[in-house]
Amino acid sequence: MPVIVNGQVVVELPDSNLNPVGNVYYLGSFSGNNLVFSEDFKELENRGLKITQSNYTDKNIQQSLEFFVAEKGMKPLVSLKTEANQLNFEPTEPGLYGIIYDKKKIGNNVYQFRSSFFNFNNQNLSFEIKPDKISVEAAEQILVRVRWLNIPAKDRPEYISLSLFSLGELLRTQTLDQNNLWSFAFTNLNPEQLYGLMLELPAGFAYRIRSVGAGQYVLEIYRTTASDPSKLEDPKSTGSQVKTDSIYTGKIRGDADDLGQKPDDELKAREEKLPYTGQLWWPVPLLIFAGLILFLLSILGEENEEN
Amino acid sequence: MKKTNKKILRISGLLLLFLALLLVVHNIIQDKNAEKTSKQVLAKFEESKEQLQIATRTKSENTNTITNTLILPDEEEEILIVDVDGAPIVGVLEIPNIDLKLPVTVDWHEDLMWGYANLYHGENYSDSLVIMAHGNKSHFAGLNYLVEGDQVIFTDVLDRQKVYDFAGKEIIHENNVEEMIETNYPLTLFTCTLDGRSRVTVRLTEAELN
Repeated sequence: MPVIVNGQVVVELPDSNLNPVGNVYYLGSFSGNNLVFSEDFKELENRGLKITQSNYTDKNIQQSLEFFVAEKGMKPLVSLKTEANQLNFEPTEPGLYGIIYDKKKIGNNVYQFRSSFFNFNNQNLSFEIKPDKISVEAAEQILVRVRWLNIPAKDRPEYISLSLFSLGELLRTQTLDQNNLWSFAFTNLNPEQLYGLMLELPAGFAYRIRSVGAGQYVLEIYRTTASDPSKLEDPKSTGSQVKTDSIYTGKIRGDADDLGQKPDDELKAREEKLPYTGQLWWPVPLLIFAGLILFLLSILGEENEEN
Repeated sequence: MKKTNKKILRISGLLLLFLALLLVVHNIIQDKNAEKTSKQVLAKFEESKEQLQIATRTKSENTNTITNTLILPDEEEEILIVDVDGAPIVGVLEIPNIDLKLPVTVDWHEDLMWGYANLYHGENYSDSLVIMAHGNKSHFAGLNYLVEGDQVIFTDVLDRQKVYDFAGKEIIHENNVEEMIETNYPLTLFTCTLDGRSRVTVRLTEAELN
């Protein structure tokens, strides 16, 4: 499904809402408004690459952002200029590029920057960096459920394997099937850590990941027919090749075994019951009725006493 | 009755009345905020839609120099999405007779239920689509008043419109998911009944073009 980001960039990637598990390069950290490149990317700096940021609404974030470029089959060759609130990308060769932003916990909230991916076809693109503010609780879990796109139950595989990665490192693999209603919750995650999901599917199937709320994702599985637009440069549709040459050094809180021990009740409930779509009106008459009774009783008691 | 007991009764009574008032105010504010959200989203959706249409035209006019990476649907029936402030919008649902216009998201989640209608079931336009929304004034409260002759219009991101005719109304228990989604009607709308245990369900058929 095509998606428009800020009305400008259209992307179609299997994991456009989660950070990729493949090659993710840690470019450096911001000092003030300028990115200080890590040793591995000094060369890019020498070639004129400059990344700056400006005018974040939350100054706490401004000082602590880190910056990543994800390679999706192409070298991360980009040159950047800045204007207020915008980064203008001028990739030097056509290809598929991705930019990943950091996640930062401040107080009870986590600022999560959306991963942005775009195809570059000899055109300069620009888009706004925009953080999503979510609660720490939501950032500590990844709820996943499968949605079969036009695949009847009889044609679906018996089960599929879902893996949780943190930038190249496999943390956990979970089987999804009818028993868990094709859903699962990875819990006790580090809210500041970048994670990625990958599905292993039989030949003929592919998937994409879509965010449907804070920490909630839908894995859309579809057939890889000739007419399917998603076959375009989809590095993961063929199976489970995972590169682990990430140089990101973040740490996971707790052991990997602690992650996702229980199936998510909320997701199960979603399948069994129609969603609640009402406002809380029913207590109003009850409260009024009970309130009036008590009030009248007190008045009646007073009158009786007077009599 | 002791004086203290009377006092407790009176204070408790007033407290309950106050709670009722608070709840009413809360619901009204929630409704107003949702209305505001939906208006803002609709405005932004229109802008995004224009961008998409411009991109579509660019691609069809000169396929050798595509300057936008728009991926057009290969099947006309595929549901397209426009991202509006993080909400995946598939179109706008309009019910002229109750003066309702709501953006529709491709999926549903608590965060996406105020200010939006949500696609509950259906992955292509060829499927039976089931759309839900809250039962307050700015959402689907008006479903209760739909009658024969009323129409519902769904406009997708490419401005393709489908008009549906009211076909019937039913009440479905909250546990009866199958009855809700296994239907031959091309469009179904639902919202909660007042007690929240059932769903007011409106079935619609595709309008015949004159």
